[in-house]
Amino acid sequence: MGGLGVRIARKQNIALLGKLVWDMFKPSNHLWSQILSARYLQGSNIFVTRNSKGSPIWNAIVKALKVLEDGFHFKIGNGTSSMWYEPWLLKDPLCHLVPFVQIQDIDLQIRDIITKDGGNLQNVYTMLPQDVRSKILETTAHLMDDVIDNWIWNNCTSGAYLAKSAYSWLNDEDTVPRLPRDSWNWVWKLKIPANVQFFLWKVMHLAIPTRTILNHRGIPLDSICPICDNEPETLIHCLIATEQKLYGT
Amino acid sequence: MNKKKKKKGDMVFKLDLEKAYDRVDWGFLKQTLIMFGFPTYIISLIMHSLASTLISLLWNGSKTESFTPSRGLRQGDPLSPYLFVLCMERLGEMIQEEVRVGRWLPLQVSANGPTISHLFFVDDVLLFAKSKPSQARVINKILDDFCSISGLKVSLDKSQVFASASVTRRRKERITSTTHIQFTTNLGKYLGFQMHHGRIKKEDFSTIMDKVSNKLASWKGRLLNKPGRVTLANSVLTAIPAYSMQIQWLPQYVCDHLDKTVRSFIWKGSTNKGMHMVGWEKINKSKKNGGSWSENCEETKHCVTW
Repeated sequence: MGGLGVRIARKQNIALLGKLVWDMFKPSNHLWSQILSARYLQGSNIFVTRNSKGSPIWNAIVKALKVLEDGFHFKIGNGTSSMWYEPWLLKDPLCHLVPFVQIQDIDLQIRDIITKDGGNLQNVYTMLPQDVRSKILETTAHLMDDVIDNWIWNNCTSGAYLAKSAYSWLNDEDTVPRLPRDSWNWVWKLKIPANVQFFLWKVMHLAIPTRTILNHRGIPLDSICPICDNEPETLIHCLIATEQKLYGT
Repeated sequence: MNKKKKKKGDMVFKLDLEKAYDRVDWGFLKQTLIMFGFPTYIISLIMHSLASTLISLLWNGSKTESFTPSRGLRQGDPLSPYLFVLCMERLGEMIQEEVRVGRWLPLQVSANGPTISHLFFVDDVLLFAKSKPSQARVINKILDDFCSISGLKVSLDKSQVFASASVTRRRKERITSTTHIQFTTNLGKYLGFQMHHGRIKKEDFSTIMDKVSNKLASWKGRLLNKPGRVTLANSVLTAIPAYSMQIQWLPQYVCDHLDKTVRSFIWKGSTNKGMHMVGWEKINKSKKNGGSWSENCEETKHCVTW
């Protein structure tokens, strides 16, 4: 059922902090992100480090990342990122999943094992866990030489992070309604005063304090309608039946 | 056993410029504009706009004769912030020169990270250096030089210094004796954000909650209906903490408190009466797409739109 669009403070907070997370992904020239990467990342990726012992701002970024990480997605461009040390497949780099990386494999890049028809693990000497193997074999990518490997935000067509789209993602909302009849827009588009719209919205949420509803909420009241004195005062009774009796239509 | 090497410690100056706009020296401004390579006719245009100011005072209810000032930028002029930033850039240049020759030792965040010597936002000035008396002397000299040529003045009472925990009291006293700026344990706000030192405390966030409840108090006594209150809650109440939310992880109790305030404002207004007729989770759904319909709604839609 449609709501009123009032924002929850926690989710709004996370969505706004996501902008900082997004900036940390990109090699940017902001002074603040240079300082934070030099201090806490030391050349690695923010997914790899996850160091949550730092300044309040850094801790805030790491906490927001934990919530938002499923919304980000690694997009393979030219595939020159390291296969082992870049968290491209899972949100953890592959080197964390194996006891050690064979010396022949250290320089492998994503382009060496992923083709447009699926993964190719013939040149990999390190033993990978079975589920990771099958996941790599399923992965396909069109390698494009002029596009660098990049992080994208899943829930937006442009792939760029927007606090608004992050908020609706956190709130489990679809950007377009699943079915057109699920859209609640018609209530708010009716050409009637705003308080009537609001009343209508309350009717649909069964939020009019009729006697039965008050009774249901544990208020000790006689649920019989005071006007007609024989039927319980339900919502329908209140809006339609009583009116007929009062005005005789 | 190795004796632990003592960390040297850094210090941060937060400077307050007294009457920043009104004190800018015109000669200094002109010189700055020439240095930045503005064309002469633009410079003379800008200088003319400053020199043509007329000021008259309201003295015992009557206007005095007008007079022209001989320094200062015009308050409220859209050009003034830019001119002021250019003037401050001169200070930045002086600091960078000192850093380059090695007299000023800037703050180094990590072994091979960038160094910070100063952060300016118009007249909000932060200076970073190693906490040594010699550094204090360098800073003092630069500030004195800059103030004497630009006409600006650092207000010593309102400026503050903050030093790392490892700096001894004796050293702090020596630094204060050169700069005459007092040490503090809390730098307060920079660009409207509270600067945190150490553990985050409950009081650090009380300003956010106070702002929201002050807003509510100012609406008290206004007769608002529920849709009006929803609109106000959406556009004003939830927007107030957004600025701090961009950079801070608000503790859960702050979030709960904010939610609670909004919720009871929507249903109860400024009075204390009223029942929360629809659950909070339902209200939070977006206005357009709120998931599936029940039969009841289908009926209502039919009745209404028919």
